[in-house]
Amino acid sequence: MIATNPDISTRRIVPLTQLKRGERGVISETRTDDDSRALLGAMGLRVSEPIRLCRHGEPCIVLTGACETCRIGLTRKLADCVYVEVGG
Amino acid sequence: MLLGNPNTGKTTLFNRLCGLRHKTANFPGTTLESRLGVVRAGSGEIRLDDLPGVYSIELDQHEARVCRLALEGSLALGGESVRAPDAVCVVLDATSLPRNLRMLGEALRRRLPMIVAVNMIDIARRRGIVINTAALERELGCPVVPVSGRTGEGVEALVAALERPRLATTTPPGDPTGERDWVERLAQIAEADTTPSADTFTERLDLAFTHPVVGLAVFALVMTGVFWALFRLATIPMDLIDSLFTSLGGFVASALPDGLIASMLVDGVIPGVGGVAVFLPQICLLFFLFSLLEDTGYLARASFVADRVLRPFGLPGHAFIPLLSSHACALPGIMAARAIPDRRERLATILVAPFMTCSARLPVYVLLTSLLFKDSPAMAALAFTGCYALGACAGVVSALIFRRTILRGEGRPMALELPSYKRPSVRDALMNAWDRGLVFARNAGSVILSISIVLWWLAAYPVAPPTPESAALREQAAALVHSQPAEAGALITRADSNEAQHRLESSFAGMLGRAVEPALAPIGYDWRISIGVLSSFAAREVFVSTMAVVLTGHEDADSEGVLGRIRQAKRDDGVTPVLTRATAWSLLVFFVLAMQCLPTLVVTAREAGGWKWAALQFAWMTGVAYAAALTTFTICKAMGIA
Repeated sequence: MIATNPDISTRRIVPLTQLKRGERGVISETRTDDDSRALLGAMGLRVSEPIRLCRHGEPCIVLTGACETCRIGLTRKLADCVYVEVGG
Repeated sequence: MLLGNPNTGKTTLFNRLCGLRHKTANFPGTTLESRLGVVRAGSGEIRLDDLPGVYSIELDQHEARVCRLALEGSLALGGESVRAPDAVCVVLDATSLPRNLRMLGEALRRRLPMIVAVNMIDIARRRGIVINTAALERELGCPVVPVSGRTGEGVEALVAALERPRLATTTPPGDPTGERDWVERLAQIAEADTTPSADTFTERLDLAFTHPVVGLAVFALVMTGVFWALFRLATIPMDLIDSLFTSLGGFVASALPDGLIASMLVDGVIPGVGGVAVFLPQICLLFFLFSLLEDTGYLARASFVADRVLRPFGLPGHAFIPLLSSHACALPGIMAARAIPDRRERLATILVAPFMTCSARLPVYVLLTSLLFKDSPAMAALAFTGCYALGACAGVVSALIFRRTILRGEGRPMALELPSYKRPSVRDALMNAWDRGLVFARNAGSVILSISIVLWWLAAYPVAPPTPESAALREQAAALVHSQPAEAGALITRADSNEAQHRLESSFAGMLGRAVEPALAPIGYDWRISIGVLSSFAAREVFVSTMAVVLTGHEDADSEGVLGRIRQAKRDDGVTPVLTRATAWSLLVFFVLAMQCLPTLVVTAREAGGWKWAALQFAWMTGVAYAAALTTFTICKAMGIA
């Protein structure tokens, strides 16, 4: 199953790993299994959530939420499954 | 009940509210621990259950399931009555409110009387985050208290609020869109005046601590520091406990008349329990240091560094704490594997944790390296280091084999919250160390006590009559007792040694030693060493005292005289030494790799969910140890090392 924001067909959507450091975006999809998606969602990485990339590579570190106060580290493999609308 | 996301400072708040008035227990049928504490309030005492930290109680995770059942009133901590909670105190992290509000929404839908504690309010204030708790209270209709578990700010108000929980007047919608709108609206109300400053300190440190080279160097430095502390600072209390148990044994021996009870206590229970209790300081110190590191925020970063090292072997970054803990003792290491979310990865970690060199192996290493390198401390130190490396390598390679065969499957990629760096709480670390120490002591007091009694019985029965040689020595001593008391004393000591040797040889343990001798002969062990190998199932270090008794009749293997006699002890042919260099090398390798610890097997069975895992662990480690010892012995003989 894929969780998708239906209103994103014409925008620039890339995996989280392709964002530049400091670049902002909004999560549009999480292409992973149900358990991992549920966990990511509960941690704050869910569709329509604004994020900012702090660090590339392993781990990939993002700040989530409008106030950018929650910092999440992801393995590169998992970050590749999170798709982001650049700029949001 | 205290409910909240991980990293919300829930444990710090619990410690602040309850102090030492708490106990740690398991939820029945699970390996999940929780703490039940007592809060002293104006109207009496309030019992507070600290539920495990979860990101959502609706997740399909062990911890989340336990939280759900506890909130529904269908599960309670061991020893407690099963009933629905009177109220729930939801702990929110003031520095990350929007995400925490989702958990609050889930709790509100349970329709239980509620209190909301907005924790870490001091840190939020420093970062420019202003939480309007009054507006939040108006919106929710239940008490909302700003609090700091770390400084104690607002704790009195929270205790007062715990006495008057209220059913909230709002229930968030259950559909994802409705829930998101509810969270956003509530966050806007609560954080209307917020202009957070960027946490550049955390950002810069993260770049260093997770860097492929710098991060690894910092990780190695921190872990070296932990090891240094474990083996330096813990030595003093360990020696104290050791001498305490020795004195206790001496006192009981002198206070009780000779007989069954005295023998069981002096030769079984006291040395058995003492042999494990001696590691209590290391275990407490280990958890104290880990607690400090976790509180600073570093441990979450270290998990990612460890993930890069362990992932090629099929283990997650989470496994480094269990594996590192196992260098003190495998028991807390295996228990720490509970934090690994993926079942297969958790089982692989549990199965290989005892390969790490625990402190109980050290007396064996000391004995064998001092026999092998009598006049070369540098070589002995090198051999010591080699033992650590061999254990760690065997562990990770075994993990890879398990993950490619019986535990095959994709590992769960890591996602961790990286909390802001902060000054750790020594108080919390001390309380955590105290809790872990109590859990370990409880274990030593139950399982290990039973094992000690069984092993004592095997070594003490059937009771052999005194040998003609010892009877003759005693007669000589009796004749000399008045004229040459010193000579008489020496003769009595020789008679005691002779009888101790004979008793062990004639015991069930001795019979077992002779029975397994054919199986251990290919790796160089005669029946005497076989007794030592078998007796070390109680605890590895028992091997040293057993060998001292079997070969010299004395338990104290520390003195150079006894070491010399161990070196010179001969096999049944009267020519070949019991411990040739080839045998000593074979024994060293065997003890690095073998599963010589019954308490570890008991804990593995409990934590892994069945005796089949303990049986597999025993069979695998013993098989690997035997094959490696056979290879070592064969190579040594081929090279003329005898």
